[in-house]
Amino acid sequence: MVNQILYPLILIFVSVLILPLVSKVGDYLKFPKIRDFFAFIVLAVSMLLIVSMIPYVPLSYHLSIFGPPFGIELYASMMSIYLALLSITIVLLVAFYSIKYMEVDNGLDKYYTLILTLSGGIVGLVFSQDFFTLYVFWELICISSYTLVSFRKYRWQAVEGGIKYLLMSTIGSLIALYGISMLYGVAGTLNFASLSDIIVKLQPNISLYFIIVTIVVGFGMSSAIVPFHSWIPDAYVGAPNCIASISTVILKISAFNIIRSLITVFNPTNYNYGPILICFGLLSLTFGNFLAITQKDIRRLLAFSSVSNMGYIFTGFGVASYIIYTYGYFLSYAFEMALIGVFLHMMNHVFGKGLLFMTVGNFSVQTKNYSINSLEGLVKKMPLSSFSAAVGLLGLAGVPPLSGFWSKLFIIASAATVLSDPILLVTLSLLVFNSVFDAAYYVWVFQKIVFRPVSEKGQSATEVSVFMWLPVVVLATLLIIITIRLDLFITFVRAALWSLFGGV
Amino acid sequence: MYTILLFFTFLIVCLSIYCIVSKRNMIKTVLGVEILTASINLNFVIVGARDGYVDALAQSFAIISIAIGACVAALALALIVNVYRHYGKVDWDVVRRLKW
Repeated sequence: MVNQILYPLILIFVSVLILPLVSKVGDYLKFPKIRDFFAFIVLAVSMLLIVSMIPYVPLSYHLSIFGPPFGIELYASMMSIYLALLSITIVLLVAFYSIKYMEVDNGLDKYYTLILTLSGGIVGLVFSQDFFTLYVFWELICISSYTLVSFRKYRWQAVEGGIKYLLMSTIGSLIALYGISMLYGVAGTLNFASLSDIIVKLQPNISLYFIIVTIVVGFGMSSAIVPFHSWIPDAYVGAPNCIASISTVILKISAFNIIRSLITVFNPTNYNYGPILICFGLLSLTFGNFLAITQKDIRRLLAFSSVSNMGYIFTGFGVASYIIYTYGYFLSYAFEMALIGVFLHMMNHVFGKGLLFMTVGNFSVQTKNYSINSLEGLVKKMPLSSFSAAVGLLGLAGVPPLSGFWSKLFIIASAATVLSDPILLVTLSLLVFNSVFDAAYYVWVFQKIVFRPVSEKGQSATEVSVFMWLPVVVLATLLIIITIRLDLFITFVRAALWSLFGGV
Repeated sequence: MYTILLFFTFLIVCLSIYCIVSKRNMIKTVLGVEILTASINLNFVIVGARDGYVDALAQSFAIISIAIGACVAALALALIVNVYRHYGKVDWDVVRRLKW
């Protein structure tokens, strides 16, 4: 009897093996698109399998020879299921989108194999319960995404973006691995559950803070916080647009690595890493916004706005850990509110930014151009794509009824709990300033798409095929559903958070 | 002894990061990444041999890490071949066309 937690992993990795065969059969039958539909169906079924796990959480699996403190352990909590569903939704829609968008390229059997290894890596990472399994699946994600970013290797942009991304992200994950090896030296195990029992008995000392710094810096390099953000615009310009929308998932997974390692292993009541994270977060927010507003290329604007949105996530987590370290459980509601804001913002940003990159793909297919001015007035020519883009832009701008507003509000409100604290006061003022600032350029792009007359490049544009507008419309609908049933999603996120703290 | 060994791996990590940030040639940068991987593997073996016995788990981590490092290096070299085809040079100074 195979454990239920293994079903999606087995399905995805077996399909990775048989997809080249399916591709050969498709070539033989003169219907090569069979591999595209095969990858789509595999991802859809694995998503259903993950959904079917929800009534049975927490699920755990380990090899029967070696028990949990030593061997590999997989563990499905609500948090893993939340993140797995979030990521697989985007990957599934991108697989559907690629059926039409990527048909100009050759070597698509490799493309879909890499998409499947990437999603297998994501599912494995969120289910992994020890640091080394996490690292192995993280490298699987990274290697697939380096290859996917430089997939169109006949374009010099792709090669340049790919090599920059590879270098930064590899150094980052190796630095994190260095911290993990030191952690093994301190604790003698890498299992999260055993580690938290061992580390909580130790006094905070310089070597443990060194491990915290390596993990934050290492995974921070892949999540593009500000001192390490230089790869992100180049990688997004080089990558095909659908891969750029998967890339936003990888940023969130990288931030989740930091959040989970810090919360489960280094308890925020004992370790004062909040100010470091707030510092990184505020730097990303401010610099990301200032760099975004000067861009002329829409992809680079979206890349820098990703940097600033990662800033929200890091600031939110920093505020949460600072509050719980300084004020204790007296302010635990602010701690919980900040973390709910962080995980809601992850969802809003993944859906919003994934949607925007796909719509940019739609626009560029029609206008053959990526400058922001070429988007003017496209709502008259491409209504479905443009309305979806409008929902995404307004959602990320934080215009009140939409869900992006609520996640930002949770983070800002948690920073506003103790106004006499200077760190929180500076954080609050910069957060408010930046939330207005990034609304400015999102709304600026929005008015260009919706209210301007059609530019000369957009004269011949028409609505794209159903394979390309349907995923965008689905994501826009999802964002609106999140807005309407926000209470449901907050309940889900809160359950996920409880599972992160060891509850069920 | 344990602390001295850890200090030496830390030294190799610093050296490899210096190599990565200072060399302009891409192949040398990949060599720096390889040295970084090797020093981390060494660190795993050292922390596994602390109390006078050999920890098999730490060594298995090192072996898996070697495999991953080889994979990353192969991919990096493949990308460098493509950089050479597009730019005619294997130098970080020429890979600066993407702006604004």
